[in-house]
Amino acid sequence: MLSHPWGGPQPARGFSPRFPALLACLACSLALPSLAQDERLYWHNNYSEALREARQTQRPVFLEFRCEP
Amino acid sequence: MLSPQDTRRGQLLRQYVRARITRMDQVDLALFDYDRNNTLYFFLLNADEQIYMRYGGRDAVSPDSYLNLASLELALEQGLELHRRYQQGALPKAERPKPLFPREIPLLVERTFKRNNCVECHLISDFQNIQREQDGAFDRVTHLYRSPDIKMLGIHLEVPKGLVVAEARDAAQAAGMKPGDRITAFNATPVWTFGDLQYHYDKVDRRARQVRITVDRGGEPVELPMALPERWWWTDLGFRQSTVDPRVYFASRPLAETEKRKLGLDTAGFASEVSYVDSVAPLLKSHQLRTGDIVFAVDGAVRDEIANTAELFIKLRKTAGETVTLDVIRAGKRMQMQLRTFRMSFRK
Repeated sequence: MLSHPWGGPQPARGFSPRFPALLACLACSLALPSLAQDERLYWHNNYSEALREARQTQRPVFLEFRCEP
Repeated sequence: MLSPQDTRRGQLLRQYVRARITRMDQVDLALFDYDRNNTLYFFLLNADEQIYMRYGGRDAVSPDSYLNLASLELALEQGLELHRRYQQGALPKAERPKPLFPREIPLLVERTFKRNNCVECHLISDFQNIQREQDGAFDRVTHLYRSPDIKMLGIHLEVPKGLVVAEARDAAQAAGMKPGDRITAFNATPVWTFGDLQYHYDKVDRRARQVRITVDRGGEPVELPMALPERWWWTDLGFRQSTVDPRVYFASRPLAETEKRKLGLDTAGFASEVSYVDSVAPLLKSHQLRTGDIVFAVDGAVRDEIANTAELFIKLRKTAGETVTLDVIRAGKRMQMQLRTFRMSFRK
């Protein structure tokens, strides 16, 4: 059985065996947008500032390019 | 709860400085080189702008065929490990490519900056290609057919596990690749994610006949020289917002040698059967092809060193907007008809 990537409740018994897979697909489709939308994680929108913070904190940078026409 | 705060993903992301770029105006396109027809793409790097890996990539089926929460977490873990190694001086520094900024692409300046329009990712790629077309430097098999599909090699991945092979067919199988192998290098360049693999695969000279793929099999590295099939670079361009792609509004399948012989056609030619006609073709007055028609010549040409269908021949050899003459067999009768190609216009 597929594990639940976000550690949420297990599906109730009686669901189709495909239900976990469908949930996983849903999670995948939701996960990336939610990654960007979650306000509890601060995202720089200025690349230079991000580099500065990375240098100060010795952390790597996770840089997202997103098309928002 | 989907909140990253309470998840492994959240814990991993917190170990990174996070940045999101939605305008490309100031971006060094050479350093952050990727197929701009991805709507979402990630780089894992450090403050010295050394790129550890890419996360992203797509195929023609879907923009998220290779995007997956589990593989993203895996990439984030690997990125942290590479960062530790970098800080310990155990990773060689990559040479930074010569910078290229959007303002250095004249057409892009003219059509976006000067009009105060957004410098969208896909516009950069399209204007680069138009510029190449104008400069006579447009190599279609490289610049139009970007990001070849690894499935053309028979490589099918277990996407949540990153570069673990689910199934190896065709060229991959012939090279000895097996399910469970984990791809670790492509032409001797380490790869960590599908984004890495697709990027380096795209960099292969389109005339190449072989690539080298290294896999981890049970903890041991195994080198797999892989013969490339004909037209390994071909991809479905349908999802691309590309004005340099001559729109033909039909699809076709190559005829087998026996079929060509039976019809009295050149057996080495690109004669092909129309398998699909886009409903907009008659509306645009592009052509009058029907499903089942055999197209065996375009402007008198019947064969090509690369193209195996009339459709591909037009895309490789004709300019968007050009009108061509087709030689067609319909229900046993030979006829000629015109086909007008179109140049796409997308938010320009």
